[in-house]
This record gives sequence, structure tokens and C-alpha cells, in this order.
Amino acid sequence: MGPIKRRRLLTGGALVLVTAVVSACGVFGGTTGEPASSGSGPVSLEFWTINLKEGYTPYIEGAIRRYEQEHAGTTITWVDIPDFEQTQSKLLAAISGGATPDVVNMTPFILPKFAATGTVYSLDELAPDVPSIAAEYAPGLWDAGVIGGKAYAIPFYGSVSALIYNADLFREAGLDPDKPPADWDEVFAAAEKIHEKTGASGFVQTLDDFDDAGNPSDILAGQAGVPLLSDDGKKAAFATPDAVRHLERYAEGVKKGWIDRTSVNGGVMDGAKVLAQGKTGMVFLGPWILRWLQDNTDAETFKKFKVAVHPKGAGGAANGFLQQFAVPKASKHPKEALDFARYFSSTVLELAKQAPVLPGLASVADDPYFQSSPEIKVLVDQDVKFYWPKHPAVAELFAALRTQFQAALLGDKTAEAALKDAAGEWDRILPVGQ
Amino acid sequence: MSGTALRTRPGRAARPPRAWRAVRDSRWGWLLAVPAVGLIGGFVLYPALNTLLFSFTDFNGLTPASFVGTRQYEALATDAVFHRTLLNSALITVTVTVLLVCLPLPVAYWIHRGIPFRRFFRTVLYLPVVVPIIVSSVAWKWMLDDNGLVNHVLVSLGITREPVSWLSDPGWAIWSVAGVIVWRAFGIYLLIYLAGLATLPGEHFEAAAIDGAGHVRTFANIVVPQLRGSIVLSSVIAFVAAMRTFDEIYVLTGGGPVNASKNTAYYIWESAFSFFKFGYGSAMAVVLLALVLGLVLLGLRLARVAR
Repeated sequence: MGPIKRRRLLTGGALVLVTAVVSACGVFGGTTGEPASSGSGPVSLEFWTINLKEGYTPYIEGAIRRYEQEHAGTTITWVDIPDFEQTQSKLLAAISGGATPDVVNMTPFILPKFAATGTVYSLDELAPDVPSIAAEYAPGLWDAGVIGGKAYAIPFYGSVSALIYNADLFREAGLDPDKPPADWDEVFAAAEKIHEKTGASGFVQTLDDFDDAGNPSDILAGQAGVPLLSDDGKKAAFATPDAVRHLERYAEGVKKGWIDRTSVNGGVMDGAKVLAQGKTGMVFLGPWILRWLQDNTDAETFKKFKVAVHPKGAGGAANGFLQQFAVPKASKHPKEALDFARYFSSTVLELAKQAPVLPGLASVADDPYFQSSPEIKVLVDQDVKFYWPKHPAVAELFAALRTQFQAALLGDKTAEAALKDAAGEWDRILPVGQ
Repeated sequence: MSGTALRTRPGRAARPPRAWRAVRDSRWGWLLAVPAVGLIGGFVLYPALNTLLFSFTDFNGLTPASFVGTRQYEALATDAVFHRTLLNSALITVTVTVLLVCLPLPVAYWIHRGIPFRRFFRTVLYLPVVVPIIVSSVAWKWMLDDNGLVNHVLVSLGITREPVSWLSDPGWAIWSVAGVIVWRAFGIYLLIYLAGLATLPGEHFEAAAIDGAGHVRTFANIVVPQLRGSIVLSSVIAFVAAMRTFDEIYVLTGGGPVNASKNTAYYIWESAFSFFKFGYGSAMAVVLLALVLGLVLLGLRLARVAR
């Protein structure tokens, strides 16, 4: 082969490669268009859940089997993604590859991005009477899926922060374990006393990397009662004197040791671990953590843990988190997918009997089972609110907030400077993150 | 044999042109290279070119990308977090590379020279390599906690009066991450050096012993010069691996506190998969790739010059 031919071959090869690369952009082009018409032929739906395989397989498979029996010709393929972070990356990969699930378990933390990019259906594209569907669900949970006035998700199950505390440490500190702190002033006072009398820290409140818990927004909006955003949603509004005072208490607590240092850089499970070790007095997690505590402590230790309603914050409601179902635009059977999502959210009582979770359906939450024990009752006895902004860049907003909180808690900055810097970051991100 | 026979070249007219002959002779070579070229093309070159392309777009992973020229690179120039991650990458890389190139070498020499329980030491030191990174990192996270085993031992022995915040103190977090990486990867480099030592003729060590050289002189004057190839190889592998560190940071610190342990590889992942900023993440990946390639090539050239 002569050098010219070889050069032509190489040039041709390079052109093919570049063309392939450029055309790949088309593959990443997302999905748009009208809902696929649902014919009368067999329907196959792929259904993704987050971390439910371990321990809940009989429930999920049983519920799927019942649906398949009631809907002849419909087949459900269940895929469980072991953790939240993987759901996001796997979903992105699936959308890029054009092989999306039909029903996917999401959280309000990532839903805004998928809604803003038109990657999931708004429910009014699939159902004629969305308000009547909305009426079936607890308003606070339904609202977490409403973005820009449109609903994008069916609530599956949720949880609400509760106060989980070590009654033995309360006694040692001279506190009454039957009268746990009812508001945040009492929490700080109890924490100081626990630390002073026992040497253990008073509480852990992680700034966490477990994004869907949204603790930084709870600290500001739930506990201190300051709005996160301006009325038009375009500016940060949390750098207020109330927020500064509240964050200063946190910084003081970390410095003096009555707030556990795990709060600075730990995640939700790190806080639970410190509680399990008997080295902190309180954590503020959903009652679902009791199952983990029971599995990871001996019976004698587990008896020490008690549960109470979340201390009242100026925001007026306890911080919540939620698992939802959304229908990706690439679904071949979106209407059937929505039907299945609604069906599955109605099976949650079965799940709640295995783990204390709050059902999305109001009728299920009214079941007498939810009055049967303190750890279940606490779910339905308090108002729940999702304090985080329903903005497509919510992960980036929280990362900025978390970093500045860490700086304040470690004493690198004053609380005022940290909040001011965080607000500056939010003002930069809010317009470009749309 | 006639003179004609000597002058002519029998069969020459029947032979194909030289260039074609070269292609024909090497066609099996080309065929055998196809799987490797396909794999490299599909899994290295194609993604790398895609990344380069995405770095000039605002690709978010969900909707069609628009070309934005050099906007992502301009944003990198003013991103304080990115600058911090570059510094952190450099700190982790220099620390890890130096320790992983230097520490296993004398240990390999001791094992090679036949210390007691050499098989035991070899196995124990290699064990962390076979433990999944996530598993070992989670174990270290628990041990390095304020209330963890490491602090318990240090306080019990009176080495420190208060627990050290290995993972939540910005001054310690990055060094804790580097320490866990060194612990995990030590065995790989030990193995490289042991393989290198196994190729050295035994006469070198015998001659050194006859000349009265002790272990230190033998190590300095025979082992180190003779294992120059292994040292260069270890340096390149350790450097590239350290620049790509992700798992340990993800599990141990999440890049915090206050971005104190966030390196560029972690920031790339965070930007792309957490913030949906694939274009921005791609621009960082291109910068990181250029840095790694440039520094590796420079290092190899310096190694050649030194030789």
C-alpha cells in the first residue's frame, strides 16, 4: 500500500470516528414526544426501586404478582438499584442508551432536574383528572412532586424526622427521659447537660452527603424558620439574623463538644452509629433507623432507645423525605406505567408493617396500624414538610450550603460570613441551574 | 552452477511488490491486533474523544447538547473549588507516589533476602489489595472516626490526650485519605519489586557479600540501580492511580470538610453525576488528562535522561 492510499485510509478512518463521535451526541439527546399509544397487545413494564431487595423482596414480588394476575397480558420486570447515588447515574445511563425503565423510584431531590429537562412525564400528560388523583394523597407528600404547578410524581412512601434518644444518657444527665426536648432551645440545653454530666455528646445532626435527607435546609428553614429563597425564587433569602444565631449555636456546640463532631462531615448512618455506640444522646432521623439499631445492637442496648416527635422548629413542621414514582418519557407504555405506579403506592401498608414508613396515600395513613406503637405513631402525629427548594440545581445548592456550614462549624468562618458566602453561591447558581 | 544463475534472481518476476509483501506478511499481525485495537478504540479512544467533544458543550446528560465554545474552560479558570481540587490532587499524588515508590522497595529487599516468615509477610502485605476498595474504605472510616479504634488505641496508649479528628478536621482529612491509599496499594508495588528482584542474578549479591558490603550498601549500590526499570514503572503506575483516586475519598470524607480532601477526579464525578453538568465535568476531565499525560511523559523523559 502506497503512502497516499494509507493516508487516505487513515483520513477516512478518522472521519468515520469523528462522525461516530458527533452522532453519539444524538444518542444523548434525551427523549421527547407524545405519550406512546397504549395498544391492546401485551404490555411489558420495567420497574425500578431503590434499595428494597434486601429484606423486602417477598413484598415487592407478591405485589407485582397480584398486579400481573389482575392485568392479563402485563408483565412487570423489577430492578432494584442498591443505593440512591446509583439510581441517578444508572438512570442517566439508561436514558442515554434509550433503555429507560417505565416506572422509576425517584426522590424530590432529583425529580426537579428530570422535570425541567422534560425527561419524565407530567401527570397531566397521562391522566385526564390529575386533581382527583392528588386528592388521594397526603397534601404535604403530593406537593413534593409538584414543580412549576405541574405534578410529576406519585408519592410511594416517605418518612419524617423524629427524635431518637438514649434514655440512659438522659437519666445519667439528670434529664427526664419521659419528657424529651420539645423545641430547639430545649434540645441545645439538654445536649449541653448530657455532655457536661456524661462526657458523651448531646446530639448528632449531620450535614450529610445522603442528599435526600436535606438536613442543611432543615437546619435553616425547619429549625430556624428562615425562608431559603426569595418570593420569586431567584435569590437566596436565608442569610438572616435568626439563621446566624441558630448556626452560631451549632458552631458553639461543635467547639464545646455537646454537638458531636460527626455532624460536620458524617452521613446519616454515621450519626446512627454514634447513637448505637452510646456516645451521643440524640439523633433526628426517621423511625426507620430503629430497625437498623435493632439489627446492630444487642437487646439490652436497644432498650435504651426511645422515640418522640421531632422537636418543634420555627418552620412549624418536621423535615421529611419521600420516595416517589415517575414515568420517564421513553416509556413505551406510559399510561399503563402510571396505573402501575398508583397501584404500587397503594400496597405500602404491607411495607410499613415491615419498616416504619409513612404511606403516600391518605387512606392508608388512616389505617389503625399507624396508631399501634410509638415509632409508627410518630409518623402520622406530626406535620411533614419538604424544605428544600424544588430547583433543578438543588444538589449543587446544597453542596454550597454544606461547605459553608462546615466552615462555620469548624470555626474557619463566623456563622454570618458563612451564610453570606453561601447566599452568594446560591445567587450565582440559581439563574444558571435552570 | 552457471554464472547466469548467479547474476539473475530466480523467481523475482513472480514476487509481489515490496509494499504489498509487507502488508501480506503482516496481515496476521494486523488481524491479531484487531481485538486489542477494537477494545482500546471502543473503551478508551471513543470515550476520550466524546469527553473532549462534550467539554465544548453544555451537555447535562438528559437533553440535547449545545456547543458553547470554550465557556466551560473559562469557567474553570475562575472556579475556586476546581483550583482547590487541583492542589489536593497534587498533594495526594505526590504523597502517595513517593510513599508507594519508596516504602515497598526495602521491604521487598528484606523479603527477597529471606527474612523469617517471608511468606507470611508477603501474604499479609498483599492482602489489602484483594479486599474490595469500598469494603476496606468503610472499615477505615469506622476505625478513623473520632470514636473509632485508632483514636481508642492512641488515647489508651497516651500518645494523644484527645481523639484526633482524622476525617472531620480539614488539616487531617487529606492525609488520612492518602494513608488509606498507601495501605491498600502497598502490596501491588511490593509485588512489582519482588518480581524485579527475582530477575537479578544471585552472583551480584554473592559478590557484594564477598566484598564485605552490608545490607545498606547492597541495597543502595546494587538493588536500587538494578531495579531502575521497576522503580520507573512503579512511579508511573502510582502517579496515574493517585491522580484518579475516587473511591477512598467518596467513602471516607465525601471530599470534605470544606473541600479539604476533594480532588479533581471526585469533582468531575460530582459535577457530572450529582450536578448534571457533564459539559463542565468533561472540561475538567480534559484538563486532568492533559496534566497526567504531560507529567507522565515528562517523568519518562527525565528518567531516560538520568539513565
